[in-house]
Formats: sequence, structure tokens, C-alpha cells
Amino acid sequence: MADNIEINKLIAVLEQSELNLLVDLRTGDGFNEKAYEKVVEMLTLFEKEWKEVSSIPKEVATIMVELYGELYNFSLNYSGEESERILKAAKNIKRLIEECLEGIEEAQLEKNQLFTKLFAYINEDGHFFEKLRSGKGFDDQQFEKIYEALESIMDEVHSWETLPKAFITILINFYEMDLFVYTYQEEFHQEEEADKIYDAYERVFELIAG
Amino acid sequence: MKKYHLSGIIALLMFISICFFPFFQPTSIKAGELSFPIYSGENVETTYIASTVTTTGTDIEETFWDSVTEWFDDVGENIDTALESIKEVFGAIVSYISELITTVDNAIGLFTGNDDSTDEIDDVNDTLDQAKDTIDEIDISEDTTGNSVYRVLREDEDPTKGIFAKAPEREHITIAGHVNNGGKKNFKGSKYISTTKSLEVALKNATSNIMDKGSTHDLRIVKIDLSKVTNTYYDLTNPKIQEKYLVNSKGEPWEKVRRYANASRELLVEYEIPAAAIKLLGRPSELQE
Repeated sequence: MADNIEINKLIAVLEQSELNLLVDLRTGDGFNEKAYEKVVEMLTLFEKEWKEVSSIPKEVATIMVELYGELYNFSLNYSGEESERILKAAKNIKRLIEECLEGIEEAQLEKNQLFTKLFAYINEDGHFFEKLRSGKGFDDQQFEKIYEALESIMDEVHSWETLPKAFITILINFYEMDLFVYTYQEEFHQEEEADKIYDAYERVFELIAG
Repeated sequence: MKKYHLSGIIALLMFISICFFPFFQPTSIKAGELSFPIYSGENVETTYIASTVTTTGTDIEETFWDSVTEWFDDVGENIDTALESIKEVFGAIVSYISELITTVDNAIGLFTGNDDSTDEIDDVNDTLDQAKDTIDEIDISEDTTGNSVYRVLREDEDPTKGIFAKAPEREHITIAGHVNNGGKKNFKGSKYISTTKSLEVALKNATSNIMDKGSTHDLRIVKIDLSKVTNTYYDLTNPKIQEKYLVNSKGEPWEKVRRYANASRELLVEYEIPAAAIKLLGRPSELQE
């Protein structure tokens, strides 16, 4: 088990590698293989390091929340092999993140009063995200209740140094809401729903990232 | 009677001796005025560690020599203390240099993941050299007066009519939000117009469309005179602007968007850029000619 100083060093390596990877993609410089490999190495280390714990440092949680969504979006800015390479890397990183967050039951967190409402609202009426995935559209009313609950949680956890794994999984779902925009435009051909999803994503984005 | 006079004379002489004794002592013994120079940057500072001795009077009593001996002991102690301090300072400097070297080594190891690999260190050095070259290139291509920026135009934009924000009604989009999401295909726009301070960046964006799978194209580049821009603009490479606007919703520094803004040398203009401020430079193919 690594000590705190060692962990902080590894977190700094993950942060820098993530930034190098994303900045290169945004500026059109392409996929930075070296930075990607470093990200994978760090996530693999953290998966082993935090297997038995229920919460992980916020800096790492932030990266976990945004990384797949950012990479997926950037893959759309490239074409051919480069785009496929980015998408493949994004999927691999998503798998690693899911492994890092495994092991702690959502039910455990639901018992925590702070999170009870949020989980209840998400699970209502056939689960908010499941409905989005299956093309049943965007439920405005349900979203408003979820947003309100999320807002009060974000105020509370702002001062926390670590975040519960099950909550990070929920935040990932919110952050990746904008990816449904493509699905609703291209697959379900529901432009209006896509529009509503994007607006909702922007509100949540400002809450959890911006 | 004689006996009486003699004892009186002796008593008088003793009285006179006692009265005049202080005047035979040295007039000044100043500690703290012997100096040696210490170099501090370009200035030479003088530090006092002991003093010179001035004696007057012709009769030097044993007590005076005691004082002098004590003083020399003090001087010796002062010199010893000073030398000890100098030794300590040099020790600290040597230790600092060692720490610095270790820190640099660790930093290289940290960022490369390999503490001992000279290849990795060489790689980092190469990257730093490349970064320096890039910075030099950017500096060359930037307007030295800082009064002009560049923008790549979409084909549907007409510079003779001005340049307009994609979604001026979307007031809620923050500057940081614009920078973070501006590069995404599904971004719905904001009240901000992106420009760059670097012609290099503009040329790159004009030839390779990042928003269309990196497809090759040959878009027009315009130069914008900021002195003729009437709306508010934000130089996102300015650390003070970054401190104020490139933060998350909790007001904490947002490193990712700062890196995005720096890499693109980004400057945002609110709502519109008047035609009078715009000068058409042309397409990259025309500029090469």
C-alpha cells in the first residue's frame, strides 16, 4: 500500500497525463499515445490501491467523471484510423474506470440521508438514465427533481476530500448525458429531444464541472 | 605634629589617586565595528563583527589589560561565531543545491514514470526544447503590439458585415464553459466569438478542420484590430483574466480550460466584431503565394 506522498505523486502524474492527452486532441495534434499509456498505468494502479475502499480522492474522481465523455467527443473531431484509435482508447479507459469504481454497492450509499433523494428520483418511473438509453426520451419533470437533489449534494460535498464510488458513477452518467444527443439525432431521429438533453447536460455540467 | 602632617599628606595623595583613576582608563573600546564584506547579489554589504581598539592615557593599569584581554577573547568568540555562521550558510547552500538536483531528477522521473532512465530524461529535454521552439515561433507570429488577433471564417460568414456570436441569447454560458465545450461537435454556441492571438494557430485551423474530422480545407483568415472592437473582449492567456474567469463554479482554478486557452492562444470577444475592425488576409493557399 502506497503512502500519501506517493499517492499524491501518482495523482499528479494522472492529472498531467490527462491534460496532455486532452490538450493535444483539442488542438488537432492527434492522439498522444505516451500520455494515454500513462493514464492507463495510473488508473490500473489506483484500481488495485483502492479496491477495498468506498471513497476516492476528489481529484481522481473529477478525471474519472469527465475522461470518457471528453475522449468520445474528441473522437468525433477526427476521421479514419485516428478517430477509431481515440474511440478504442476511450472505451478502454471507461472499462478501467468502471473497474476502479466496482465493489461498493449503490444500496449502501442510498442509506446515507444526503443521497437518498437523488437515488430515489433517478430510480423513479423506470430509471431516468435507462429511459434515456432506450430512446424513451427526456423526462423534464423527473430531471428537475433530480437536478434539485444533485444541487444540494454538490454544495455539501464541495468541502469533502474524497467522494463515494457509487456517487462518482452517478456523476459519470450526468457528464455523459451530452453523448445521448448524438444518439437522439442520428439513431432515434428526435431532434427536439436531443435539444432538451443538451440543455439539461449544460446545466448539470455547470453544476458538477464548470 | 610632623606625624600628623605626614599622615595628612598620605591621606591627601590617596584621595587624589582615587579621584583621577578613571581618567587613566582607555577612552573607547567599541565592540561591533570590525567588518568584512558579504556579497549579496550585486551589492556588497558590510557586516560588523568586532571593533578596533583606541587607547589614550599614559598609565595603563592591570585592570585595563584585563579589559583588553577580555575584549580579544570576545573578538575571538565573535570570529568563531561568524565563521560558524558562514559554515552553516554554505552548508545550507550546498544542501539546497542537492535538493534542487534531486527535485529536478524526481520531477523528470515523476513525469516520465522512470526515475533512472536517461533516455526518458533526454526525451523530456527534447520536449522542453521543442516547447521553447514553439513558444519562439508563436512569439514571432503574434502581433508585437498585442492589438491584433486572428479568426478563421466559416464560408457563410461575410467579413464586410462583421462577425457575430453563434448564440448571443445563451447568456448563461460562462467563458470557461465556452472554452471547455467550444471544441465539441454538439456545442450550441454562446455569446462569445473565439479568436486567436497566434497566426500559426489560425493557419492550422484554416487548413485542418477540427470540427469536421480534421478534413483538409482552405478557409479565410481575418486579422482583427482590437482597438476598433467596441465590445468587451477577454485575453484568456492573461493570468489575471484566467484567475477571474477560467475557474469552476466554486471559483477554483480550472487547469484544463486554462491549458486549452493557452494552447489556442485564445481571446474571446462578446456578441460581435464590427466590419471596421476586420481585415481579410486571405486563404492559406493565397498567403503562401
